[in-house]
Amino acid sequence: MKSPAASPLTDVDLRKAATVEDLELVARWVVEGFLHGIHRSPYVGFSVDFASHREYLPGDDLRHLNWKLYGRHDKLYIKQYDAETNVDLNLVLDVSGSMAANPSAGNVSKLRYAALACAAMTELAARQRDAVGLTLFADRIVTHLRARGTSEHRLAILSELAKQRTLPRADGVRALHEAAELLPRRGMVVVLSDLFYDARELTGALEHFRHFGHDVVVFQVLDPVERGMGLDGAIRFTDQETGEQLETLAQEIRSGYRTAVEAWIEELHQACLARDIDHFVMETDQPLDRALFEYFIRRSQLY
Amino acid sequence: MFAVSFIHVGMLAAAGAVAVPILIHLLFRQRVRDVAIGSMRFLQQVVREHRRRRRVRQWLLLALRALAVLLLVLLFARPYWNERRVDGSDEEVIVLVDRSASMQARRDDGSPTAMERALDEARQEAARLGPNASIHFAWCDSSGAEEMPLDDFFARKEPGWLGTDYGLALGWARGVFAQSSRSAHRVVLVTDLQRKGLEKSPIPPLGADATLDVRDVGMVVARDLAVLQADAVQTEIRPGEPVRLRAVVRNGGALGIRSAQMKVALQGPLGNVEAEQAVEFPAGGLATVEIPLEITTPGVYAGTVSLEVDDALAWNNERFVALEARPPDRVLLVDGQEGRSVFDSETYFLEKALRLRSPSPAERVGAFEVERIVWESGDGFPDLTGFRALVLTNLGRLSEKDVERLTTYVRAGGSVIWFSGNQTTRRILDLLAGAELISPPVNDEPVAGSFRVTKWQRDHAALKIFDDPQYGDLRRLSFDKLLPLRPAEQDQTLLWMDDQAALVERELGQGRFLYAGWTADREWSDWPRSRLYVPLVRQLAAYATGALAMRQQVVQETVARREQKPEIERAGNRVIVRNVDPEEAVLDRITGEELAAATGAHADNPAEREAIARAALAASVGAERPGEVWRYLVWALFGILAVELLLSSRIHN
Repeated sequence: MKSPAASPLTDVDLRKAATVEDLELVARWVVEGFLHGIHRSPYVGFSVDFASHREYLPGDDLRHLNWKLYGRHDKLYIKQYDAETNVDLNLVLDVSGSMAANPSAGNVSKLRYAALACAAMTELAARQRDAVGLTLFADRIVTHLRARGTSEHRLAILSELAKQRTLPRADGVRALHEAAELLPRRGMVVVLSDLFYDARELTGALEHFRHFGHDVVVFQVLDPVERGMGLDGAIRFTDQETGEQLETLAQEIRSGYRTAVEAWIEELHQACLARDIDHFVMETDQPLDRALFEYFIRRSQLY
Repeated sequence: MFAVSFIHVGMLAAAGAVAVPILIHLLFRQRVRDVAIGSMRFLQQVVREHRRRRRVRQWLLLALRALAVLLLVLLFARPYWNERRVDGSDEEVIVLVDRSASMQARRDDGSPTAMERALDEARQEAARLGPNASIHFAWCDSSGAEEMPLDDFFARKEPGWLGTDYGLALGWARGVFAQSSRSAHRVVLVTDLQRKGLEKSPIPPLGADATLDVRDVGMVVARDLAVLQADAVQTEIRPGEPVRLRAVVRNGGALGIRSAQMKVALQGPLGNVEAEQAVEFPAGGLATVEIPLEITTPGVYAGTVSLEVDDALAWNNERFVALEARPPDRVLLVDGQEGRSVFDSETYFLEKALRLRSPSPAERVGAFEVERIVWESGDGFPDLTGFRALVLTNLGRLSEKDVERLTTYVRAGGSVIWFSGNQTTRRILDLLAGAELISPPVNDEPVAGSFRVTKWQRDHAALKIFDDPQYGDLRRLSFDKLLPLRPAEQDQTLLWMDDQAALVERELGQGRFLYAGWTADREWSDWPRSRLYVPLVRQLAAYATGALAMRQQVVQETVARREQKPEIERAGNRVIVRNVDPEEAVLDRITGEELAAATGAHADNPAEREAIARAALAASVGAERPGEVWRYLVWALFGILAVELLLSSRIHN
């Protein structure tokens, strides 16, 4: 299913969403814009209450049929109580130093982008009456908020997302394994990271989540420059985490760099697919509703 | 071993331009931007692969650009290979030895001739330069320069008979230097510095890098008499008539000669003719001497005119000469009708035309000895013995006996020219036809009308000259009456008027009969007033007398080729008198400085030297010096620019 076209409400200046209030507002805007787009999209035939319906199966109680939907779509749907459709949404966000990189300069940092995506998914989950948890990891578990459905908990999540923090250097994927151990109850795990880890170690950590029966979606957040090397001239690159520097002519290495990055992304993608893990690449110059859309679809397929 | 020299050395100063690409490389290097990135691992991987290649490419690019600038500078400087011999001599030396006739000059004290001293100089030069030197030995004279291998060169000991021409010799040397890859050029000219050598061909500049080393083997002559010219005073020499031989003598010495014997020694058909005369010659001038000769027999008299003196140059004391003595051609004019006055006679104009004397001794139609009779009455022809030709005009009386005598005359070798007239009747023409002197006429009487010459035998000995327009156009001749013949098979029609045979020749025995169907006077036309009258009449008479036939003829020539010498040469019917160019007998001299100055090799005036050098350089614009390497530089430059273009496009790809 294609992602709906980005609505004007999602095209906001995300760099200016600094406080919790800003984050909440932006998230709401993104979600409302997304849902508006969902309504108008010919590809999606459900209402805003899509999450509270399922297809009719023989034997279902006919009192719960949604005749309005039948009239609109000529298909039978059964209303479901909210309790039956609740999902634990566990957001696992990488807050290591590399996520602070913003080589494009015109866009937001990867961390800011991922945080906004998390905020938008939190908002959408709240409307679906899903419980949302947040785990921040870098070289260790920085923050862990167990999945809850209350509004105070949601605010606590936003607060964590809005915090300015010193981003430590990542120490492999050990922290991801720890995060997996913190989520024993089956649910939906959404990992947001640039995934600059060893591919084998990473897939091992993601498998850990699958081991507990989670439905795992990985959003690999990259800056456009990190993916396409759309720069020209003499550039002195600095590693965001290690401080290492390297000087080169960008146009000279562009072709080779792209080939290497795409090969790496494809390797990760195949590794995830093999483990029934969804893997999506999001660049920081793309609208946020992509993340929401994938969550939405995934959510509907689960229930 | 070769060294490189440059035609435009100053251009090498532009080599500083090689700093330009270096400065551009340093000043316009790209400024670095700082960018923070999440992970360096892919960059490191790619840069590691590209770094070394990129560095090499960049240095290579810089080197290529600097090299291209350098090549451009060299191209303008025009380098060339400069061959150097093992013995260090980088000269190209040409030894030119004058072998003109004047090099036979010698002093009175018996010292070597100019030629002998010249050979000594050449040997010394050869010994001085050594066996590995690049040296050319060549003889020079008015025919140019003749290079020879060393052994052949010194095998020759005598000069030739040609004149002096420094322009030709130095022009040849210049051509040799143009092909030379050596840096220094030198001409060693061994000569007697005869002034006449400067006055013939223009003297070319030898070039800025050439020197002229003049070795003077000539001498100042105290005494030199030269016979410059010898010929007969008369244009026509008749046996038995007084003949004077004229000689022009130049005294080139500083002293006058009070008495010198001039001798004429000629060999004739029946013996020698000799004469002698003592002559005085003032200093530094020309004298003309006339010596009487006794010539009694027809034929060619060839020999020498010489001065019995002992001076610097022996050959110019003598000159070859040849004279042809011929008896006059006797022509009898027979006038068929006495006119009322002398001007009315048939033969008046004929006689005047034939008595004209030719002004030029070269003219083959000389004067005729003309006699005239009026034959209206009386006995037959007079004694025809001794007459080479008869010209019969408008005869009204002719008997069979007369015709018989005519026939005998013609068969014996005499020639007759018949001019018609009002008295030319059918009877007379039938008599002539009966004697087979002519073919029958077309008409019984002269035909009135307008008759114009339409064509003639252009290759006939008598009429050949009328191909030359300066003698006039025969087609201008026209007549009011004509008595044409119907030519027979044995006849040769020489001239047509409106397709009628107007002038017909018949050979009979050893002689010939020429029939003209018109008059010799103004009776049938005004043609005696035409400018064609005299040449046509004289040509017909000369043909009739045999003056146009090939006889011994004297031809004057000047020695023009190396293999020739002054002599009398008999070639068939021709007697060729060949002498040395009289200008070569003039021993006036120039100085070595004058000759060098003419070539520009030793100009003392710095401004003049610079102007000459600049002129030589300008003259060489467009000309390539041997050993130049500009072609290789151009190809190298193209190659470098192509590689630079390829490399720079790949770096920024």
